[in-house]
Amino acid sequence: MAEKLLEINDLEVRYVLRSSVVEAVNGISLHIDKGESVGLVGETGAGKTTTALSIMGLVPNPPGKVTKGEIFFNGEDLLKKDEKFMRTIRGENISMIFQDPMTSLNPLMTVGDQIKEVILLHNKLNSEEALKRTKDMLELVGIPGERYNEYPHQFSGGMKQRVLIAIALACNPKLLIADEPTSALDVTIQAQILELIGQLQEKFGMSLLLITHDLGVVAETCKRVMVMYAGSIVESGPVRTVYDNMLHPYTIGLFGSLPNLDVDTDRLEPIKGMMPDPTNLPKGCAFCDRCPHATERCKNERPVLTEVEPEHLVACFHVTDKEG
Amino acid sequence: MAKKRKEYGKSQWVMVWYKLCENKFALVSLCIVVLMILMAIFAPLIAPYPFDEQNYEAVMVDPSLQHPFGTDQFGRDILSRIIYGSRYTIFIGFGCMLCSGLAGVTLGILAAYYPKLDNPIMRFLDVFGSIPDMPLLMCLILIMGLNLRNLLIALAIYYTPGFARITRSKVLSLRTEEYVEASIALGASDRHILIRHILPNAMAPIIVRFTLSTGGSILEAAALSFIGMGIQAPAPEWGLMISQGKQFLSSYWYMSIIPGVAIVILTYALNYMGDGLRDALDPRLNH
Amino acid sequence: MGIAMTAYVVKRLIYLVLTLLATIVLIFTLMEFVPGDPAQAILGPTATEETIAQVHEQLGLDDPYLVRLGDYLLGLLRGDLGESYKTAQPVFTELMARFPVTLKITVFAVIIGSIIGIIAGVISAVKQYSIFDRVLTAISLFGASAPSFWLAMLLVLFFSLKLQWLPATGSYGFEYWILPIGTLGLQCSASITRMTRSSMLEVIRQDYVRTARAKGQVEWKVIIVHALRNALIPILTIIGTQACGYIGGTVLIESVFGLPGIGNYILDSVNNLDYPVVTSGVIFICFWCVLINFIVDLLYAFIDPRIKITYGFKEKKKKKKAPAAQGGNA
Repeated sequence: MAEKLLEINDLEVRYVLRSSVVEAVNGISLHIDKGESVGLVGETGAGKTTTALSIMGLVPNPPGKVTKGEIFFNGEDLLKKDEKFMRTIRGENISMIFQDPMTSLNPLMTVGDQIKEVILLHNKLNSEEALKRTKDMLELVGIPGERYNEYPHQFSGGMKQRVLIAIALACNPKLLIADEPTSALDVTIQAQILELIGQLQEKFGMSLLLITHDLGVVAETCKRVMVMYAGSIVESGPVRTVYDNMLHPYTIGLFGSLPNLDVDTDRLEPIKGMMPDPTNLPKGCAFCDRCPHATERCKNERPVLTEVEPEHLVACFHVTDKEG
Repeated sequence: MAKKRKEYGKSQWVMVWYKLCENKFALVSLCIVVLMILMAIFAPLIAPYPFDEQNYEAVMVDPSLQHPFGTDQFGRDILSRIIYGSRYTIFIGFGCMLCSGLAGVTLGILAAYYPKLDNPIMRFLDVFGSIPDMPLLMCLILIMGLNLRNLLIALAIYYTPGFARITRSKVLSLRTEEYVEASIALGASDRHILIRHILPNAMAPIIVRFTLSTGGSILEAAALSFIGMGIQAPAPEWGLMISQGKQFLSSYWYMSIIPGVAIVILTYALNYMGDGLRDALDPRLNH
Repeated sequence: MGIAMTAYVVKRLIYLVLTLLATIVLIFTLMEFVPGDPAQAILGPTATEETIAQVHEQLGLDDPYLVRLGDYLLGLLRGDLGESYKTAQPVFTELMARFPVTLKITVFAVIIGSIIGIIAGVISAVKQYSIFDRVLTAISLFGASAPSFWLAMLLVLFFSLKLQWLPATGSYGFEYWILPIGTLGLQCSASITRMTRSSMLEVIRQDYVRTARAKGQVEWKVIIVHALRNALIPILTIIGTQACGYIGGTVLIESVFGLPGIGNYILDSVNNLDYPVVTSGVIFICFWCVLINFIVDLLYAFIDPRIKITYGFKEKKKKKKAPAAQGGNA
């Protein structure tokens, strides 16, 4: 088995608001091997971004707080480390690309300076070497080096996302977290950006955690997939296995709401209802209100992730009981 | 969240009221403002003495039970004068805001709706806006003459450009909102759109400005009275009282400091309310 | 200086001149409507009709409005702001003799206010909802709600009369300036604190601030380099507004501390019906305000590269940008 780069155990994140507590992440566990690409799928508000931010140690506090769990990166628990140590992790060992490239770049700094900033932070280089490295990075993501001195408003959305990728990869991180890197972009540009991320991932041999709500994107880019719902992982496994043999009703529902050209369907089947209120999650399975197979047990007991076939884990009583 | 669900279907203003109620200090401020208004209306009933009753037996006496804030150099009761003085302050503050609000909003809408008028109106107001407050107000009062009505008009003129500017920019940005475009596409008339869609949504920043500027105009009025360009003696206007007490500051400070406290309480309450309203109306702070 | 910047500066300069011209015309016209006869004011109640007519002739008061406006504008170009009715001295000389007082108060008050205000506002925003933030918010709201002349008297009462640390009135040395400048500095810092806090609160929630943190940048640099710079535009605006307000509004502070600034001078002239002084004095103040606004506009452009493109160089920039945008689509 490959070496684990990142391992999260039983992570729990809460946002404490004035009158309520948002249960954003509820005891999730996951791991990413060296060089592996993993997809984290779920709808908006499922806790994907919060998970990513906890790895970076950037959960906005207040109101957010990691209340439980461990995050091992290269064998060290990041949650026990101080800010100073975390700063050497961010940007150098773990990098993150954010959802909206339009707002993620500082509008008052040239893109070159923004790339140079991260290079100078983590490398002992003089200004000239850093400049050269910056230009190399720009070229690497497909932007002419001479656009170094331009400001973000002079770039299109796709180009900005390329700049953000350059910033993220400037220090050869071991893990890249891409939080919906394409959802704010045009479809044609989405494919280019994904391809770029894929290429660079292979080139640098880094691990990738790709967060998205787009199952197609995961199929294209990732080896393994995890499906997240209301702060918990409900199904995980290798992309092929999961896509061929979907077991959790939510995963099935997700696929049911995608158009499929091979099968002639009259209408898509959306998942009924809405995500449960994260300040007031049901006692049992979080999905039970929307699940066509929900029973009394689902309402009262929370299912745990159980391996049903090699590497394929599901958290659903109907599946695990049948298999068991 | 559970509470929020109950509030579905209620208008924005009900929500704002709920949020304002959560902010206890804003509620206290609202109470202070309401009390001040009541004080102004019922001044003759509340005040222990008439504001102009001179009593040469008790000139500049220290605060006592008879005269809680003492008396001035003519033996007039300072508390009573402050109570009567709230009439000027409240009248000027709200009167001036109503006038400038109406004028500013009208001009702002005209500028936003009629491109031909836009430049003339806004440039003209820009020029007015480029003259600092004190010189402009002094000039206007010099022209119109010293009295309460003219003071109010001068202040209203000074505050009009601000209202016009925010109204114009808000209306312009609202006109490109999709629900307004949808309404246009459905064939609604300009007036219908203005009254049903644009004005209600433009109200928020206007009301915040209204509250904050009321405090500002009260300060300006007091300042003008202080330098002798506003309300004239023997009226019990607060700024004027501070000015009259100036020469006795070393021997008898109650005369000048206490009216100032009254101004601070009223403007602080108004500004706090304005801040509270702004926060309650800010959709980005909805969590 | 790039071409966009030059174009921006030129455009702002033109705007400056036009605004100034419009302001001058406006004030001159407003002063036309002042009731009463200046000649009567100069000569006093005992004047005969003959002498009044003489003075009218002398001052050109019977000329048509446009002629007088033209004369006045031409005079301004030569630095001639008219003569005081009362002292027969050139208004310009009189104003310049008093301007240092006003300028000193304004400049120091605004500098002190900006330093205190920006620091306090940044800390307040970064530590939102902390005790520090609450106390500071309360104090700054107090500062913005108190009349400056009253605050000045409060400080005089405390520091001069009770503690006897500082002199109350006059302008004979360093210590005489502490209270007037301190009063306005404190009040100025109150408004700037409020603006800095709200502007910073908006900015520190932005995505690019998170990006900076994700780079592993030190927190204080994230706040100063990435957040504060982006929050600076509204702060600069309020600093400019404050500076203008003080240039024209030091009359309040001057009258409390008995300082011979232009505010007091204009006020005296208003009471003496010395119209040329009022007109030119107000125009003099407006000139400085327009200049302050010009400087603020330039600072905007230095801070935000987008501004000179939006306001400075519309047509050509678009053309230049078009190919870049085409090639720019990833």
